[in-house]
Amino acid sequence: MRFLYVHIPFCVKKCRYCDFVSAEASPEQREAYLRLLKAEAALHRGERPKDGLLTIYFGGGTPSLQTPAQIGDVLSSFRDTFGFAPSMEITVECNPETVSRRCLKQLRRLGVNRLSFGAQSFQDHHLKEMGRVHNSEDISRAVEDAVGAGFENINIDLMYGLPSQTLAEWRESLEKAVSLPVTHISTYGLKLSPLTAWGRLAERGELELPSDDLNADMQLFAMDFLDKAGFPRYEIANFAKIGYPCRHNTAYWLRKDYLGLGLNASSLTGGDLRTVNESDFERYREKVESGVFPWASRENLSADEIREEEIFLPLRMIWGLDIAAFAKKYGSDYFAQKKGQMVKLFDAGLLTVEEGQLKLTDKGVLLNNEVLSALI
Amino acid sequence: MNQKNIRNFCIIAHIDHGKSTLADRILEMTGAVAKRDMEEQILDSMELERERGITIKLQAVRMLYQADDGEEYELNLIDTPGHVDFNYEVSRSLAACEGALLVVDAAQGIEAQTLANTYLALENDLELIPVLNKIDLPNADPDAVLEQLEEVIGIDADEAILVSAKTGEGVKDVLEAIVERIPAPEGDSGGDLQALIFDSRFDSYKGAIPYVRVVNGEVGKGTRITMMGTEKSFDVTEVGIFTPQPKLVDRLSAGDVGYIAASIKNVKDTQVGDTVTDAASPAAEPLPGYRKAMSMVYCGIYPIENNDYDNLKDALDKLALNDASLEYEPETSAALGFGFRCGFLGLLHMEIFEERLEREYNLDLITTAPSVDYMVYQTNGDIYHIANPSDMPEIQKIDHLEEPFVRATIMTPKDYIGSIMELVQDRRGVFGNMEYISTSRVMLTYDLPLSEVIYDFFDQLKSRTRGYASLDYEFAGYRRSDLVKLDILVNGDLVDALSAIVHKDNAYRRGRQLTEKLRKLIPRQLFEVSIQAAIGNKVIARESVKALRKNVIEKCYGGDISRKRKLLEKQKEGKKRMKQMGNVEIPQEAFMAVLELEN
Repeated sequence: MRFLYVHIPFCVKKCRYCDFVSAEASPEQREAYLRLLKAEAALHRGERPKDGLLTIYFGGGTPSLQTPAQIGDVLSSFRDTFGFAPSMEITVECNPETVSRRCLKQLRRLGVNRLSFGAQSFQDHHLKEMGRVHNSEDISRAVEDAVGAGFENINIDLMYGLPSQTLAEWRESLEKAVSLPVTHISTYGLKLSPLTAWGRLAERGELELPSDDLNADMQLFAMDFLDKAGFPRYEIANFAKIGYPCRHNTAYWLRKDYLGLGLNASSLTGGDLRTVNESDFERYREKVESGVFPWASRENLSADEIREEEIFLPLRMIWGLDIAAFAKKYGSDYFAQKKGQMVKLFDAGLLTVEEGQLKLTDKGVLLNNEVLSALI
Repeated sequence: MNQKNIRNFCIIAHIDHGKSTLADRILEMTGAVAKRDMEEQILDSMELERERGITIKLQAVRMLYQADDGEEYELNLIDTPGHVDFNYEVSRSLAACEGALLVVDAAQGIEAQTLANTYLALENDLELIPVLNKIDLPNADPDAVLEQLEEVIGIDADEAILVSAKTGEGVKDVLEAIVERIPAPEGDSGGDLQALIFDSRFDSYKGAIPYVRVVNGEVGKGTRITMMGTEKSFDVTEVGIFTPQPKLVDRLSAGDVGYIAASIKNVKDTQVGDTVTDAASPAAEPLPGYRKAMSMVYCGIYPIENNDYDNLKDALDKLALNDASLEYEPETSAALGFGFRCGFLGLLHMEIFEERLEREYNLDLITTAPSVDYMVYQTNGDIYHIANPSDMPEIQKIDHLEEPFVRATIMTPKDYIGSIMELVQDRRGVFGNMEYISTSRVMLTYDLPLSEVIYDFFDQLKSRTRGYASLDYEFAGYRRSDLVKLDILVNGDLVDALSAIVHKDNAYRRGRQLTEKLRKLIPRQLFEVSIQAAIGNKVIARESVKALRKNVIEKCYGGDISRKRKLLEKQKEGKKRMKQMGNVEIPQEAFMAVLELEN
């Protein structure tokens, strides 16, 4: 296990589309939570990797709400428990309004070398409707400050398919994003859970959402635009300058073992055990304090399930699936049996083979549920 | 039991007028079933029957009753199915009795089925005992209903017994009336055996068991019997009565109601209405009124998974053991593969049957829209029936077509006459008669094509009259109609299972509605799908389903992977439930779409 995810479930306020485990909290609660994270990490001391951790990813919520001192404290605790590899990627997710130049400098000094900003949009009216605290100027300022503080690996998240959003607005957001000194861009279409404020509005038909066709156009536009701007797509939703894909997230798609700490965090152990932590704070606390893994669920993956994941996860990435390696492991007739379906997917221009790698085309990326469900 | 102390009777009522509750009270009061053992409404024993509150397969039960005159009587209650689909079965049950309780809801009054059943009872010379039920209801109006009985049916209001089957009030009077008013059976136990089959069951140990009313003669273990309709003979292994549990007896004699077990392998040999006689000294004549069960509604039943075909066949064979009226034979569809064309007495019979197949045999099925049996007259003189629209010959070969008509009786509060007339005219109804049965209630008679009735006619009737109208219908023969076959093409391929025979005047509207409905039912696919409705080579309506462009989960990090995998598995399963037509995947609901068209 060389990949560590740390969930920080606190936010200044809840966004109107968010269904992550996150809540507002007092400084005392945050302090208590960090103590529990260290205690939970200690429960895994037996999994200490020989050569140390390769990545740590602080996700949320809003990890940047923690003080640099607090982050430094847990980092040194993780270093004691698991050891650090010589060259690491340590990412902290930030909201643009939460970081000052001073605090960014301190983070950089602690060894954090990658930032991921939840920018979402460069139109203030969209940001306001979404319930975000920041505006578009905050994004530019935060990125400039990050560069000033010594960060050179910076991601920003962008969202499309927002209520009443036009293709022109989406284009403007993408243009502004690439004009900033960032190395990585993630794009997400808005997906609404019925448990969110917007989800409830949408169910009542009170939210004017872009059509499926416009959503498709926006995603295709982003793939094309970002590629030309020097950010080729390396995964369904992720674009990066050459040499800057996120090492931590790539570990998920390569099915590497990883450990998730904190509320609702998941882990993969031994390639076949997937566990998910409690999302209720009290239950999480009780289990950690009584010295047991704070799992809410555990799933022992069957051979078939592992095979399914070994098909659809690599296909999410631009490098695709190594046909020969797959055939060696699962027999050469696996895809032969699906010939009829595959021919249909090739004919429809969704799937292609290049140098022995099975890959999704751009059109196939948009329809990846159709393609992947046919292949598993 | 002395023949003069036997009373054979049935209960006839419109649905929901309380027939089963009254039967329960009678069973309880005669001690046939102890109250604590009683499953609510014991005669309706099939699970589905209890759910739907109707009797599908009838039952019989013998009770002993100590009457006020000091003598003990044997009361045989023969239950009747409560739905118009089973009219013939009802008529045979009535023929097995000397009397009938005519149950009428004291709040709702006479309904279409009340009337139809009354006529049947009078045809069979039954003594009618009118019973006004539910007098405990606050809106009961016994006087008004009694007036209706006098005016419409000509029954003396003084003969009616006021009852609440729910509380038990008046039920004792009903039992006394059965003894006093219903005549004892007349037959001669010394004569040649004639026993009327009014129902049958299949028992896996004893074979098909006919339920009979012995009219003349006697039957017992060892008797060699002959079915006069089917001319098959069997040796009787046992005879018995229902208490309601089956109970062995030595003999069944004239007047008795009971069952005969004779190692009969096939329920088709125990046809309702047939006469059982003694092979050694057969009766000169069968009892009157026998006819073979006639299918009115047909549909194709196909397994979703082709390899379920054998399971479907097994299930049909098993269900047919208990259902002499079910017809089925193998058929093939280009769209649906191998399946069966099944014939039913009516739409309810069909629905119940489909539900049993899915529920009791756990089969995933596609059923095609129901069709009736058409008569084709070809230009070359050939005449034949078709029950599957895709069997229709090319237009050029057809001289003309005939379709089955029914005579429908509709009873309604007079405020809804206009609305009903509109509905019936829309369904090509031919007006017959209109009669006031009270100052506020009207009886309408129409001749209607059966094909128009089997779609949502009854639902429409109910919704247009806020549930107040009632319907009964009987077969009224074949009539010539201007009919055409409407085909559906998906991406240019004919989907045979979606073909329908419709009246020429309705073809355009149906075609438009059907293509529109299918556009909504067929999910967007990887390419555009065209849907056309056509008569012969002429396309009369078209729609298209635009190509799907986006179906993607973008966020897939550590915690999302299992969810994503399950979603892909689910999508894969969903695809399995669709039928592949060329490149197009068609969901099973599409094949029933024609049923849900609005008029």
